[in-house]
Amino acid sequence: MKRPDDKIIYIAFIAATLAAAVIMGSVSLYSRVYIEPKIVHHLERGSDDAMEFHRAYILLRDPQIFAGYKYWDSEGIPARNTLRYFDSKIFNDREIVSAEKPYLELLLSRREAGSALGLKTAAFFFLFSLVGAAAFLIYRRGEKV
Amino acid sequence: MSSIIKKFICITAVAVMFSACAKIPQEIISPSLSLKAGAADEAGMVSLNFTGGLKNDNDSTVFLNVKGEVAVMDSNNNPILLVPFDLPSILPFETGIVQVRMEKDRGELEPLMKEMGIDFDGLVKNGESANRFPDENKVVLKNLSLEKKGIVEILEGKMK
Repeated sequence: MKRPDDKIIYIAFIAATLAAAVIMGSVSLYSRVYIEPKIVHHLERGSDDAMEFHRAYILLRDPQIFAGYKYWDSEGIPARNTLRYFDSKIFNDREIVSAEKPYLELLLSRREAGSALGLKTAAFFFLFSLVGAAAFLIYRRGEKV
Repeated sequence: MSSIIKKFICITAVAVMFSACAKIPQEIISPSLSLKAGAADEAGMVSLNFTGGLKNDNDSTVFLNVKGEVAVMDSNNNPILLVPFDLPSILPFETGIVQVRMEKDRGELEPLMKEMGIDFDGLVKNGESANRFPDENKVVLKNLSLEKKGIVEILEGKMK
C-alpha cells in the first residue's frame, strides 16, 4: 500500500481544525455581537412597550446553535418550562408583562452560555490548528536538513 | 445522469431532510375509559368518556388541526372501539389532551365491556361509572392527519 504523504496529512489537519474554528467562532460571534445586544435592547424597552418583550422572545425562541432546545439536562428544565409558558401565552394572544422579564433573562443567559461555549470551542480548535502549523514547520525544517 | 434524475434525487433528499425534522406522535399516552349506563329514559344507552394524551416532542414545531382516530383493540388485535378526535393545536413540548364523550348503544359496546370486564347490569343497578385504563399496546392511533408549522413563524404572526 502506498504511504500517504505526511505533508498532505499536516495540511489537512491544519485546514480542518481551522475551518472548525472559523465556523464555530463566526456563528458564536454573530450571536454575541449582533443578536444578544438586540435582545438586551428589547428587554430594556419592555417596560414601556410590552411588544418589545414579544420581540425579545421571538429572537430567544430561535436558539443559539450551542444552546439548542432539543436536548435537556436537569439544569435546562427551567428554560424548557419557560418556553412552554411563553409559547402558550403568546399563542393564546396574551401579553408578556414586566414581572416575567426574569424568565426572558433566563433564556438569554442560556443563549449567552451557548455562545461562550462556541467561542471557547473555536479557540480550542484554533489552538489545535496552531499546534498543527508548528508541527508542520518543524517537519519542513527537518526535511531541509 | 439526466437532469430529471438529478432533480428527483434533490427533491427526495430535501423532502427526507424536512420530514425527518419533525417527530410525529405515534401513540396515545395514558389512555383511560369511563363508561356509565344511561338514565331510565335512555335505557340501553351507555355514556363513554375517552381520555388520552398526544405528545408533541418537537422543540419548535407546532401541530395544527390534529385529526385522527383512537382504536381500542381486543386480545386478537381487532378494533372494538373507534374514537374520532380533533385537536386545534399542540404546541412544542406540550401534550394535547384527547377528551371525547360519546353516547353509544349497549350492543355496540358489548365487545369492549367484555374485554374490559365490565358488567353492564351492575352499572345500571349501582348507577356508578366503570373506569378502565387499557393497556397502551392495545390503543392504536389511526388516520392521523395534522399540519406542521414553525413556532417562530406563528409567534411572529401574533405581533400586533
